[in-house]
Parts: sequence; structure tokens; C-alpha cells
Amino acid sequence: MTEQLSQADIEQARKRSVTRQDTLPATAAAPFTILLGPVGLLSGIPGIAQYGQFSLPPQGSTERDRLLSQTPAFETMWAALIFKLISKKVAQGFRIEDADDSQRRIKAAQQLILGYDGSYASGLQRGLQDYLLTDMGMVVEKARQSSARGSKIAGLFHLDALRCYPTGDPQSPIVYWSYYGGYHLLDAEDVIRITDMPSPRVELRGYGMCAASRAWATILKLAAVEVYFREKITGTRNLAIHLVNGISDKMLRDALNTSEDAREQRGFVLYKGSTIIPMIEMAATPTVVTIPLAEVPDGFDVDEERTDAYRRYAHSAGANVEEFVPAPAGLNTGLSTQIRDEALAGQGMAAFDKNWELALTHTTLPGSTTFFMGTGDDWRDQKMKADAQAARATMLKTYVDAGAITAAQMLNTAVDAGDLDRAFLPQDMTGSGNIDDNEKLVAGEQRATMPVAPAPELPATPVTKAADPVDVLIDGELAAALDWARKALENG
Amino acid sequence: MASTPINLTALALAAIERLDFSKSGWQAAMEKIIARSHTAAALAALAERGGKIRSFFAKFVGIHALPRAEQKTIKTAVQKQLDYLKGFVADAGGMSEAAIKARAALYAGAVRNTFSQIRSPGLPFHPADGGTPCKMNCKCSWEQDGDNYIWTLHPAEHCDGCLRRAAGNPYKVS
Repeated sequence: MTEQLSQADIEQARKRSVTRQDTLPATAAAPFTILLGPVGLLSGIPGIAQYGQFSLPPQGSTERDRLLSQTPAFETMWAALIFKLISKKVAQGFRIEDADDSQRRIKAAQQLILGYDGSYASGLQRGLQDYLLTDMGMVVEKARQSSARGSKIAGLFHLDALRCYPTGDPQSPIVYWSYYGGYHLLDAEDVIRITDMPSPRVELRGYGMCAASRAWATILKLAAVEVYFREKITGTRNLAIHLVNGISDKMLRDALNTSEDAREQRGFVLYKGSTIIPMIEMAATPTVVTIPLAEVPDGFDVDEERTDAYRRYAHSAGANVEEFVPAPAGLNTGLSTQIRDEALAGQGMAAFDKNWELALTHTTLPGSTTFFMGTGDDWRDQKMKADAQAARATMLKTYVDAGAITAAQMLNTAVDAGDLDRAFLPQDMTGSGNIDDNEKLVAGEQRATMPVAPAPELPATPVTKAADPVDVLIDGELAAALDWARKALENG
Repeated sequence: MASTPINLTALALAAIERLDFSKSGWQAAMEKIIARSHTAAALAALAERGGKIRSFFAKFVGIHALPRAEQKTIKTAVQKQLDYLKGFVADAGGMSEAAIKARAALYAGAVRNTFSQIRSPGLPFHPADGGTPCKMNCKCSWEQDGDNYIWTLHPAEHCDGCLRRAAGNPYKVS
């Protein structure tokens, strides 16, 4: 029934590859290794070098993912960005097409995907949080009706990335540790894993670098700025000591303790973030020296830092920068937004779209069924598409008028470009076709390999020496048939 | 819903009854009526199923506006009837005009089968498919109730074959 990408074919190919010795087979009956923690100094160096004592645990560890998954709680704007990205993806919707126009297969595919983790919106929100906030990525289980290999997929379920462990065995890549205990070894054909920037290192077993990993330093910085201002405003922490004249070590320590006790005795007092030591020598002219305990650096511009941080957030997550950092007013802002949108079409979350489409189309749905992110209803996409089609039609008409091509060749070109339905074409006269990654050939059809042949003129009632007489008869009665069909429906 | 195939049958029957079987050339006229009626059945069935746009485009680009599966159904149905017609023409020399008219009228009933195949694809049998004793005179039709399809016996005297089919209700698309 299905023409899915065959895992058996991939495994056959792997037997010819040098990478076959990169892994040990993982089986439920024998001990298998799962990646629990760091795989050596290599994974820890970038963190230590960049962030010092605030470095993340090494890449490939569950501790790192646990921390990263909590980053929305650290900083509000980061949480807002994650929320916006996920909302957009859910609102984007999806559509399903079938090469044979089989309503049954389309409906079955729709039901399967709508039931993802109980509800598509819920499943996608959970999965995307793992995609954006864990290096493990989004993991989806394909639960089957029976244990027989290749049996029908009964449902799609979200798996908590923090409970998934990569085995390194491509045939059984994931172990899932369920909440009430029990480890489950998942076959490759029973799981989808989508990771952001999967590491090329064998040792890391597919762990990637998620958006939170990329933005970690910025999240830390912005969170620290917010904490600093909050403490300064609320006086919950002593941020500076102001000295009047000289002071000894003992007096300084006593002053700090006194101020803390005094503050606690008097209760919480706003705007009290400083400790003041009274004059020691009444005869001296009062001078004030401030010892800062925590402060922003000289020249620190909060607004500029925030703007820079939001820009980094947007770039890390693949979002449109202008949604978080308004573009300066100027000429052609609308045009620059359009150009930026078009550029974004190939960036950031577009990689997720492509991965999700390919995983569902080629490893989950039947052979003739294709899954697309988006409903195709965006009026900007449709307008751009219509503009392109109009320009193409004008160009082709020019060629036909000049006698360079025939009307049939024009029709063939329009069909090949996707402007017209393939059903309009009696016979494809063009040479070898091509196929996009997320496209299915019509079930049962081979790739077009017919040689280019001189195209016949398209007559009003096509009659050729080689035409099937039944086809001729049907075409000849078509006008009358349309009239009968209309009458039969009208009187129905 | 069942009235569309009835209307199609009526249109085909009316055209057949207008033929003059005493003159030569009635075979070619019958061939045209067969092609017209089965194509009309396909277009009407497709329009009822939600394919109005394809039906509309058929005006401009011919039968190729329809999905390939439907094109094949039409061609198969027409070819089958034309094969029967050849046998009919061969036998007509020894038949009375009344007998010829009666036999010709049977060709109108086959339209219901084409309509049903396209209107409700994926079902195990269809009206007037020759699988029941009533053959082209079958007056039954499929009625859809959600995912279930009901073999519906319309007011008429029904053969055992149709009664057996009705006893197996409901059916589902395979």
C-alpha cells in the first residue's frame, strides 16, 4: 500500500558505508549505550571559553537541555519570542494533497495529523518548544497498529526530549524513558527526530545547537540587566556603599551587617539600596566616596543593549528581526520588509518546515500523499504567484505569436511550470522531468523520459491518424454531454 | 440525490426513442448517444462530488480536464457499450422493429452505472453493473450516510441480487 522511503534500503546502503562501524547495534534484549552526559573535553570547551562560570553544561548532556528548556522563565523577551514563533507555526496550518485526488487518502492523512498528540495545535506547540529549546530536538513517535514491521500508523505522539536518549544506532536511534518507568527502544521507522543544526560529530549522536543554545549568552546578559534594575529599584540587595571620610575594614564589615539587620528590622523599604556610613571625623570636610558592589559599566546604554539583545534573539531563533527591533523610518520601508520576508523564506524556521514536511511526506504518509506546511492562502504568496504566472503567460504568448513555439508547446510549458493542471495535457512532450524534495510522482507513473517530439497543432476537435476512435467519439460529443449533465443536475 | 441518474437515463432514452431504426446510420447515432450519455453521467457525478470546476474546464480543454481515473472510467464504459452495440447490430437483421427499439432502450440504463462509479468510487458494486439479474434495468442507487453507503431499493420490483445487496447494508469504501 505505501511507497514510503524504505528504512531497509537505507540500512542496505549503510552496510556499504564506512560509517557502519561508527555504532553498535542497540537491541532491547541486550545492553545498549545511551548518551547520558558529556563526551569529553571537546564538548565543554566552547562553554567554558565563552561564558566562564556561567557556561552551560557540555553539549550532549541532558542537564544542558534541562537548563536550556527553562530559559523562557529567565528572561521575558526571550519567552515572548518563543511564544511568537510557535504561535505563527501553529497558525500557519497545513494542507494535504494526493496525486490521485483520492479523497479517502487525503481524509485519512488529515485525521492522522490532526490527531498528533491528541490535537495538532497542542502537539506542534510541545514539539516546537523542544526544537527551539533543547539540543536533542523535537521527537515524535509513530505508534503502529501492530508490532509487525511497516504496519499502519495508528497515531503520532510527542515524546519529551528530556526523556529521550540517542543510542547512536541508526536502526534503533532513540530510547524513551516513560514517566512511570520502563525504557522503550524505538526503531528508526517508528520515530521522527528533528534537530536544529545537528552536530557533525559522531560522538554527539545527533545532538544539535538549538536557538536557546545560540542565544544563551544574550539571555544571561539581559536577565542580569533586568535583575540589576529590579534590585536597584526594590532595594532588595545592597548595590553600593557610600563612604564619608575614611573607614577601616572592621567598620565596613560592621556597616554592611548593620545595614542588613537594620533593613530587616525596619522591614522592606523602597529606594533603599545603599548603606551610608556616618562621618568619623567631625573636623574633616565631608567627602563621599562610593564603592559600587554591582553596577552597569561606564557608557552602558540600556536601550541600546536591549535592542542589540533582541536582534541577537531574532537571529538565533530565525525570526524576523523587525518584529522585535523596529526598522528606522525611511523610504521604501514596505519594500524592505517585503525583501526581508522573501529572504526569510529560506531561513530560520523554514528549516523546521522543510524537515517536518519531508518527515511526514516521505516516511509517514502513503505514496501518493504529500504534506505541506501552510494552507497556501496567504494573499501575498498568491499575488506573487499570480504575478509570476501572468508574466510567464505573456512571455509564452509572445513566443507563440512570433511562431517560435506552437500552442501545444505553450500548454506543455505552462503545465510543467505548474500554472495549469497536468490533466489538461493530452501527452507530455517534454524530456526528462524533475522533482522537488517534497514532491511525489503520480503513483504508478515513471519519471518522464519521452524524447522531445515535434508538437502537433492543437485543433478545436483533435483528430489525428493515430487517435483512438473512442476518444474521438467522446470528444465529439463533449459539448452535448455538458448540456445533458447540466439539465440532469438542474432537474435533480 | 437519486434523481440525477434518473434524469440522465431519461435524456438518453428520449434520444434513443427519436432514432429511426428502419434507416441505415442508426448505429453511428447510437454510438454518439452512448458516448454522450456516459460522458454526461461522469460530468454530473463529478459535479455532485465537488468537481464543478473540472466540469467547467472540460468545456475548453475537453475530457482531459477530468482526473485520469474518471477519464478511464468513461472510456471503459463507452468501449464496453460499443462492444455490446456491435453484437446488437449483428443481431438486428433478424429482429422486429419493436424488438430493436426495446433492446436499444436498454442502453440508457447503463448510464446509471457510470454515474455511480464516479459519484461513489471505491464501492464493491454499482447499479446496472450486470452483476444482478435486473442488469441494465436496475433501479437501485447508493445513498451516503457519513462514512456508510446504503444500497437503496427505490420503489420498484427488485430482483434477488439487489435484495441480497441491500441485506448487506451498510457498506464502506475500501
